[in-house]
Amino acid sequence: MKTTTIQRGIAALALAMLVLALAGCSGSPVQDPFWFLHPNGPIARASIFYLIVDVLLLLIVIVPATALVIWTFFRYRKGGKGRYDPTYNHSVIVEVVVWGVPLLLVVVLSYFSYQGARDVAPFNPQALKSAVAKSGNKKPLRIDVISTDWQWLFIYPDEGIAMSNRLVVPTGRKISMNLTSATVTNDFYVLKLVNQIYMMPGMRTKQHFFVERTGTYQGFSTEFSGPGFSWMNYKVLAVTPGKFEDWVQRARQSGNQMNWQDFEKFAQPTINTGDRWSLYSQVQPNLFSKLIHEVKAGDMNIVWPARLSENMTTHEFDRKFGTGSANSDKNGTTADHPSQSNSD
Amino acid sequence: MSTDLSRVADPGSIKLYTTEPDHHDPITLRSIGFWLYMMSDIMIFAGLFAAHGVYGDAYGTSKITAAQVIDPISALFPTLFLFSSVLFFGLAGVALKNNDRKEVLRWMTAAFVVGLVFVLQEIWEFVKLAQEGAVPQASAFLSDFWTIVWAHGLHVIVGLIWMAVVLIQVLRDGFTEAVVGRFLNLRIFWFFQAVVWVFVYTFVYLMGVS
Amino acid sequence: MFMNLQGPWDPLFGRLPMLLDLQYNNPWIMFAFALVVLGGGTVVAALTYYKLWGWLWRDWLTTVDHKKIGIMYIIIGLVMLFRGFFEAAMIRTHQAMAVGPDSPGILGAAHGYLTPFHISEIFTVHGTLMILLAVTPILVGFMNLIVPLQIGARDMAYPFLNAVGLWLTAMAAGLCMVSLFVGSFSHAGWVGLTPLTELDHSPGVGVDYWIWILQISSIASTVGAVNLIATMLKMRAPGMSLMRMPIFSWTAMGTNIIALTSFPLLTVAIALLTLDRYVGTHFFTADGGGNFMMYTNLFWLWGHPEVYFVVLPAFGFISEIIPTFSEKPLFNHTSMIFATMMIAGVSWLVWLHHFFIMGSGPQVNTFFSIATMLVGIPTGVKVFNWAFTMFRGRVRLETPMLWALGSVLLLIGGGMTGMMLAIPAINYVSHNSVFVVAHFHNMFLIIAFAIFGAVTYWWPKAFGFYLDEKLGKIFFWLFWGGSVFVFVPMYALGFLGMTRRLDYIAHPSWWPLLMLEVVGIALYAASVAAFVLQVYVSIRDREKNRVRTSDAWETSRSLEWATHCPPPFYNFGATPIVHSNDEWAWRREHRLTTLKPENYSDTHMPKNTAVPIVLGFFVGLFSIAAVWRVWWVMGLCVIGMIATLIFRAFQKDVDYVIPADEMEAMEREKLDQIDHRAQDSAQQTGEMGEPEIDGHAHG
Ligand code: HEA
Ligand code: HEA
Ligand code: CUA
Ligand SMILES: [Cu+2]
Repeated sequence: MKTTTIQRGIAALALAMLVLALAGCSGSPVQDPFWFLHPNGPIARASIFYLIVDVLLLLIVIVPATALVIWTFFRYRKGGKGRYDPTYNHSVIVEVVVWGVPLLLVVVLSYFSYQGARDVAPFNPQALKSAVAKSGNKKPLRIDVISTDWQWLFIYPDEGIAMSNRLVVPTGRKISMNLTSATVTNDFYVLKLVNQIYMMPGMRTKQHFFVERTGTYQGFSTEFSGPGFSWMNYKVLAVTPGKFEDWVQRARQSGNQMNWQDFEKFAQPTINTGDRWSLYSQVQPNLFSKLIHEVKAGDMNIVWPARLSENMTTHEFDRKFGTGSANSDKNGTTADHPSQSNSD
Repeated sequence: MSTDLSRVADPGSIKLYTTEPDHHDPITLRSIGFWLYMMSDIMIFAGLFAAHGVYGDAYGTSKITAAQVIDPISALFPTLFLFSSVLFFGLAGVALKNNDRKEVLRWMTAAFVVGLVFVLQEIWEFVKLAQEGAVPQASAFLSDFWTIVWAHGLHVIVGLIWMAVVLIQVLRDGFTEAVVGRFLNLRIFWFFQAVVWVFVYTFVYLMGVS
Repeated sequence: MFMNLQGPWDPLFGRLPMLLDLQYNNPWIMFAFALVVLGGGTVVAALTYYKLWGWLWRDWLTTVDHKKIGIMYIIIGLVMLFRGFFEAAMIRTHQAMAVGPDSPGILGAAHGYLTPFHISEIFTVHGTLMILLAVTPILVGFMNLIVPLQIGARDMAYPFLNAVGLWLTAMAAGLCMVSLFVGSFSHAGWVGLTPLTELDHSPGVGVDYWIWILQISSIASTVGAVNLIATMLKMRAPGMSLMRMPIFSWTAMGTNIIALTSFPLLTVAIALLTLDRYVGTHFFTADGGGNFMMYTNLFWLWGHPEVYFVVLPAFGFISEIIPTFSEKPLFNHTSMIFATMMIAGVSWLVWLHHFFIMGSGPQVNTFFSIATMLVGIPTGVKVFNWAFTMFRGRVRLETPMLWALGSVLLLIGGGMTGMMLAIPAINYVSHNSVFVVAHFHNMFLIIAFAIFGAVTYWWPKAFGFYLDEKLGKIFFWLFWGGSVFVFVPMYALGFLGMTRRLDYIAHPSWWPLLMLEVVGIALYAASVAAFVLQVYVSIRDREKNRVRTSDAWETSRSLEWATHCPPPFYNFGATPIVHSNDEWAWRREHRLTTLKPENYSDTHMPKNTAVPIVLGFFVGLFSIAAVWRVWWVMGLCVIGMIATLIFRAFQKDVDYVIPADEMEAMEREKLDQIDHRAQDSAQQTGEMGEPEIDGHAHG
């Protein structure tokens, strides 16, 4: 009876695995294949490389350990084949092996941990070096990223333009970002493209990346930041340098401005912009640093209404903040889309 | 591995159970527990001092600097009061060894009074600060300053209440086991407050202005 | 008082008028309220009907008996575990509903059935209460129940303090229940993300509930740690050197050293946050020179050791169960003790792995990465030693062993994913994803499994009858199935990029996996039913399932099996003398299983006292007043607490003596109930039973 239950259990597990495999990896049964195992660019790829190496290394000990537990149990169950010897309760050899082998493994893993940490260090990633060199050491594209409650603002300081809730980047060029937040901590992440980095109010963090091929990606925040957090999704478009230039030109023609007063309005709590984005042709030059300064001085007072954080219904939100429904207006409010390229 | 008796020749000769009543010395037991508690208290102050490392000069937009609110010279007075209180309490401890109840009461009263002066002086000091606008809300540095000093101050106040209790008990019951246990733990506690004050004085007062 | 609060405030009622202002239209709150009123009402009615209030007060509420206190801790924990499961089920079903922009929304939500703020409350309360009010009380309960018995002590070092710890924990649990329908709970995660928990972003009372629950249970844990460590240092039976202390007690030692040193840091972190919210200081604000990363550091300086605080006793359970059911001593006993202490020690050096992605340099991150991975070594040693305990053993697959083995296998899996997260390069792409959530539930499930193993293992000791074996196995397999179905898909979702703490799922492609998780929830629900049924059936058939010997499993090894089942309030008729690492196994092997000492002697026992529960009452009321900022009640409660403690200090009549002859009479009655043939034949199944071996347990 005992073994049958176990067998049944194992069968159930196998079934679960199978379903998983089907749901997860079968090409793209869905609109948006969302594996993080499809890196685009050296940084994301380095992470996946270390993931694979480390898992393989771990398996060297994990597999025997699992096998040992299961084997001893089957072999030495009462009435089984194993010889019973209760005096066997100490062994120096075993002791040396079970302390030594994991220690060795940790030493090896530590090496890879350090290499990995250097390769993808957000402030100064080594993994980018060769790609940047190969692409002719172009001047990096600077982007200032600001998260608000609960929207995104991407400023291109050198181009003097900005875009909200959508990020457009060129391929083949290093991109270096400064990040901060207007109120609470968020965490910047573009799956398969940019590794995570905190965005903290009153502080500046940096992140770098490099895109190899064009495509559409999902960006989102991963650090919980309040009621609007789940909807902080935006599209990231990786386009060819030529298209990027076109897009910049078009952005310059947009009539929108983003100076401090506009930003203060923009930063008011807003849930679910429903994929609506805007382009700004004119951005106050020091907006990013001014924000950090204002936050530190306590002048960036965005106080959430008690009702919002205490007993909120989404409908109430609709009324108060004029947002809410995801399928309201799917199109951009001003300039048109940068030409979309195929997703990978 | 272990020093087990190996196979015993005559199991009947083994003593399996104690035959005398258990005797735990209640005073040692009490003070072990109290030392353990002190350990956790040390961690509380360790946490606060770690925070001080961050907030020591975090003035934000406030114009009030450490040099303006901290005066290591005038802080020598409370130091003096606290240390004499600890000294007096120590003398009470000596008197306890000599089993001299009157002497114990006398020194404890002295320790209590001087301790109270320490607290009152500190209150006065901080009321003055508040009037000058150096309130804890003004900057992270001031939040930290008030919190550390008053975390210590709160300990002293608790110690004073405790001392009053022990004082009354010595007066009423004399040196019973429970009272002596309490007295000895209070001595550890009181001594510890002086040690913490040394740290407060060094890290907050002296290093704050240097 | 100091802070400019949103909403009404009244000198008499504090912020309570705010309740009138908020709309109470949420059916969930009504439902929860009805459930609690119904459950609580039934208990109260039953107690009144059977006139049991006096009994409850005398025998339980005012007790200082460590076994009863332990049992009450465990009951609190199980009830909270059940509530935590309820919340988990809500999260899972809601997320399965709220997939994609076209998903329907009911009960005021745009998608699914929980509004954004409500679901954040739910995962926050789930995390907070599962760790601090479910798992911790259960583990502390077992330490209370078992450690004194295992070390051959009559009692704890400070029985009074022990009761204080219990009532503080009970008040924290009570506060958590009150928050269910009076006001709201924090929405900022169990870690209290700053600056989200600051007044600007959490203007209501939710975070205050969370603050006081953490603060009270943190103090309770510190108090409990003082007590348990002192007990183990000073109250061991004669002959029990520290190295002879049973392994569960050793893990309790490790755990409580962690508690004693790390909980004060939580106290500090929470106290500073309290000042920010109540007085307007600038510790963790973004302005005024504040530094909210300081909170994150302080929190994880506690938070990481805390996870080992909860896992070590679970390792202890496993280390007790596996030898008993392998009929063999624990392999490499000394090494196990060393591994335990090493885990406790290294747990201090790893906290930064919870925020690798805040932007520290590769050197810093690597340091913490290596420190984190070091923990894998002693943990691995444990796994191997458990396997070698079974090696050349005679493994019986009774229910506790099933749970223990499940636990070990879970540890290997959860450890593997932990080691992955510990590599910064991997962490950068998996942090805050549900992969992390799956990792730590995998780890917490070790504890859940070990707890249910321990419940089955020590149940006959605590109550004198066995739990139903068949239902126990059904419970195990259902619970195991639930765990697989919920958390294996969750690992996969992590790889797909799903973040944690989501209210709305933007990617319809995840729906199949989310549905699988709901299947898991259904299995879990069935498992709870199986457990309740198991307890019910076992209590009903208790006469049939009575334990007739002191050693319920016949192959147990430590001293808690050297007294009656259930143990009398004085634990041992006479204090046993210890001769071996596994004293009871040694006695069994030498045919010395008698429970009758040569003679009895006078015994000191503490008297019951109402002071702890009164103190608890003041603390509870204080916290509620603090949450609602009713300053005058807070003041009165502080005075009440001080007065109660002073009253206690003046109490002289706190213990009494059981005369030797009375003890003998009580013992005789109990000894008569023992089936002596079974008690003596217990040794036959031990090591001595095997004819070809001329050995003893410790070759
Ligand atoms: C000890 C800790 C612990 C335990 C045991 C659990 C157990 C479970 N948890 Fe929990 N969980 C956390 C700690 C824990 N969790 C934490 C810390 C968080 C993070 C919070 C945050 O984000 O801040 C979290 C978050 C969390 C999430 C949110 C994920 C997200 O952020 O998106 C989810 C969702 O699925 C979840 C699910 C579950 C499930 C299904 C279980 C199941 O394993 C539950 C199984 C339990 C049972 C089936 C009950 C059995 C009970 C009995 C048999 C007793 C019955 C007794 C009586 C009737 C008296 N948990
Ligand atoms: C009981 C709880 C528990 C336990 C025991 C652990 C154990 C471990 N945890 Fe886990 N962890 C949590 C609870 C726990 N954790 C929680 C609650 C969180 C998130 C909280 C939150 O954010 O809300 C978390 C988060 C967390 C993170 C941060 C993730 C993130 O937010 O990005 C990391 C990263 O390093 C980590 C690592 C580890 C490691 C390396 C171990 C190790 O101790 C594991 C050691 C075990 C083994 C390795 C397996 C057995 C060993 C062998 C078979 C020998 C051979 C193996 C080797 C030497 C490789 N954990
Ligand atoms: Cu870390 Cu800002
Ligand atoms: Cu950790």
